[in-house]
Amino acid sequence: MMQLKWSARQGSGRKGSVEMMESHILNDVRAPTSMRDIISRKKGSVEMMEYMFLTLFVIVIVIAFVIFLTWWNVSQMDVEKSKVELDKTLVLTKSLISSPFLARDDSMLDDGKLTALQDMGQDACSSIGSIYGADWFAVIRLLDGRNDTICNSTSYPDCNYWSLCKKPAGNIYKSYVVPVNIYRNLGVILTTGVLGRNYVGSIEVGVYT
Amino acid sequence: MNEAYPLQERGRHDIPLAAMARQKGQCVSCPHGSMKAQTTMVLILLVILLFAGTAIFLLTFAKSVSQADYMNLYAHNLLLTLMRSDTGYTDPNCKLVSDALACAFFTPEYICGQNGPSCLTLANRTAADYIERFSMVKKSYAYLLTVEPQGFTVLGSNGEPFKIVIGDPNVALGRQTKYAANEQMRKSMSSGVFNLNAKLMIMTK
Repeated sequence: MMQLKWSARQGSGRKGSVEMMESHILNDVRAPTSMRDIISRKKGSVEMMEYMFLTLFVIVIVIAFVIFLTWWNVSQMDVEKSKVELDKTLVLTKSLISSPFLARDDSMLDDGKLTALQDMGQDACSSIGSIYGADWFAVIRLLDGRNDTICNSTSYPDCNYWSLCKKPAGNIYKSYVVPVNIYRNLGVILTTGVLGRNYVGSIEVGVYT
Repeated sequence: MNEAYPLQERGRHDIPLAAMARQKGQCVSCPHGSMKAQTTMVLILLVILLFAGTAIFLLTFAKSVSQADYMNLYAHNLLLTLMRSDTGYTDPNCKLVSDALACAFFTPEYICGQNGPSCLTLANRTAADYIERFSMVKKSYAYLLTVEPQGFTVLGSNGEPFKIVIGDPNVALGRQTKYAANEQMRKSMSSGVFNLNAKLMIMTK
């Protein structure tokens, strides 16, 4: 009897038997056609999700790479800008330490010239600026271990600090400090004249950015 | 219950999936699915490697700001400034640091001024004092100043070639980047004119 029943079912075709088996396995009593659709739909959505994730992943990588390239380019431009500014500062430093407006000899600044420029104030900046350009400053210090006292016609010679073209604090700049001699005509007085002395000093040359 | 019989006989799990796959014309036992996943993973890995390689390549060519030019200028000016600075004595053998160094080389026991220090003491004291007035050197750099004869040899009391050494002798042996400056001094004496070479090396501490 059982065999007959099975045969009768088998006779309805291969497709029918498969559907029956699926519904039996899944303990589903609904129509076999709807179950197949559900499985098919699930499989399709899984594949779609897979492609979506893959696409998303590739897009993220590409975006990360583009961001990296942009950052690299910007940082290189910053480095180049910084390099140009430092080169400009170095060239200006070399020029100023041998400038006849400030120096007596190469890397030997004359305190008389410095004091005269200090007294000129902003006029000195515009005068020297016509040669060396604008937006720079020079600070010269005598390294005598005493507190900074600005040199001008009133404080001279008890002073040790000259500041040319310095802008108020807050302006951004790049600067270099270089050792220099500062010649002061304040040495021993001889019958033939004053024996000047070379002191140890430093010059800080900065370029405003 | 009767319908379950063939399923139990064939196995409950493999038959329906296999049948479905067969209906779609797919091969269940073939590993095409896993092959596809592996290929995708390898491709992703290749893309990542390509991007990473490009990034590393670009980073190796990244420019950086070098301080070498400035440090060379600094070292040179430091030595020049030191040599030309006054010691405070008016004696021609002791007036400048370079005078004191030359005097210390040829006549180390020569007394500067009246009851002053010897040339060697004065040279050692002033050179070290002046160099250490520069805060950059004092804070971050070790220095070594040597004065050696050029073209002739002077033997010291121990029988070895004499030279003046001021500063940290380890600077000459250090592996860090060093910046050096040279200056020549000429000393006229009754026996002739002699050249001395002063060399200053600075190195990060």
